[in-house]
Amino acid sequence: MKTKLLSAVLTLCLCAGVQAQVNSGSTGSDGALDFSSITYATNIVINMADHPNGIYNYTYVNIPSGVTVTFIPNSANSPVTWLVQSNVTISGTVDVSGQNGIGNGPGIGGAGGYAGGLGGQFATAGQGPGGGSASLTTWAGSGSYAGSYGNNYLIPILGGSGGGGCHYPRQYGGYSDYGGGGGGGAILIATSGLLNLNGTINVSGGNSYHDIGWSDIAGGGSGGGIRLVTTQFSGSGSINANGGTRGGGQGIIRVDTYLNTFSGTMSGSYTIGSQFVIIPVSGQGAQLTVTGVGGVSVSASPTGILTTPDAVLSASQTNPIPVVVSCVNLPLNSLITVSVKPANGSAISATGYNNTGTSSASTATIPIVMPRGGGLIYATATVSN
Amino acid sequence: MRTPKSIGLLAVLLAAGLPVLANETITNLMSSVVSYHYPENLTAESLSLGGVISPVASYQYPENFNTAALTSGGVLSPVASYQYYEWAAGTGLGLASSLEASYYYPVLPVDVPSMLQLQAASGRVVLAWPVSTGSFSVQTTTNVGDPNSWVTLTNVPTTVNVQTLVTNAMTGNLGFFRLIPAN
Repeated sequence: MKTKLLSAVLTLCLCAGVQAQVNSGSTGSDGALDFSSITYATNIVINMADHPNGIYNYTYVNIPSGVTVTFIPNSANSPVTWLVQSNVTISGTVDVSGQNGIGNGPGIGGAGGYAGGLGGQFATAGQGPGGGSASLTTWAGSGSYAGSYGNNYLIPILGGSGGGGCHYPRQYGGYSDYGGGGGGGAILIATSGLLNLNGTINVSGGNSYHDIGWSDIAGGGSGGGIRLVTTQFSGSGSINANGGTRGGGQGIIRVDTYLNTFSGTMSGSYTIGSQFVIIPVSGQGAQLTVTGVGGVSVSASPTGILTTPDAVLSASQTNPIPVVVSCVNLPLNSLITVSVKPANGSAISATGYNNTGTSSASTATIPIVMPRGGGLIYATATVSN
Repeated sequence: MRTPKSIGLLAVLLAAGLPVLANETITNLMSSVVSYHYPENLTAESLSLGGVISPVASYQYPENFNTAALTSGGVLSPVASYQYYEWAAGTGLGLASSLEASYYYPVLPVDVPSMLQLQAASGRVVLAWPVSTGSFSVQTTTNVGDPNSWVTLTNVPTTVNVQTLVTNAMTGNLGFFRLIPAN
């Protein structure tokens, strides 16, 4: 009797409390993403060009079995963000995976992910903070994500990095010129309702290319990022953030929920918890932002795209270059690390402290010997509980 | 962050023995990823020109030769799927000698190592590049504005230590040279 009463109360609370527990913030302006009328296997392609920030506001989502949803990244290569007012039901496939290398061409990253490197005598490294190194003499580096950059909360949510390209001499002459695999993309699904997954969400990295009968020399892309935010997570489907062959690192999976009854599989580095900040807004929780590089101001919404740099420095400026990190709600004199990953070459880092301002708004200015050319910069810090 | 309703829900879920997860705070912060471009600082000294050719001051830095500036004048040939330096030596611009250095990124703004060096003396132009960078052909033109005017030199390269050298007679008062991957 007592159990029945508790179950009844639980059901009522779940129904009544859904809106209060997780507020996705969806306006519903994109209507419903509902393919339930499709009864045959088909691929739905969402071109993200009309959503420059990658954020979709749905009323509800229903992807039936047999339907695969893929994406064409927008110009900012934004991650996919689905904010949903009501339930999300995925029985089909949501595919944000990276593409395979093709010949000496790089695999393109999934939306929010980074491309692989070019093969050939001008082989390039894979793109992204964990991009694999290019190689003319040995195995190219593979893309990495989990344990390399980002955090387990996926705030901010980032995609995987590409594998390096190669130009490797063959035993009897000629070269193996192969492109690296693209990094898996990134997708955030936050719903004010329930999320049921009996299908698949895939952000795996792309495979490197190699000719049949020859060694796989170029690097695979790493898996990307998947974050699911819901009051209740259920189903028996699969969540894949695997690295591509050869050697791509695992991606990151994060589920934020009050109640997890999911019995399916998760392939990748995953954590399950209850951290309900979806997209941090100004002043919400502790935040880090790179706001200046070498005296050049950086946009509050940097793209991280190499071909359209967020900060262009003067060639005549001398090293070390000061990087300004703005901190919100971070205790003064916290240790802050600035990492720089050049487009070709190994990552470097430098540390400093937010010793200017107050704990609610402070800055750290950290000099770092910046590699010439193009590259990526980000900052990290640890908050003690 | 929790509302009274959510606290009530948590209490009921706990009482029901369900695996309720506690609220968390973020402990490992990360900023967004910022891309940067920090070009090579190319000066006359870095070109190892031996003082034969004086640099034009405004042309010392590669940002003066960005792709947009050059292509808007129709100067450069279409972008290829590789990157290279292109140097020009001559006596143009009303100066006794001058140097122009163009540097651009056809595909990605990747860091390009200094590859092609040029020395002009005694009526000759000597081009040098590292053997380790691979096999190239030298092309020349006197009209960089015409992408179809580039001619491949047939001069036989020589190897000195780790450098590949090609020597060409300096004819006229202006010449442009570039390397392209050999077929």
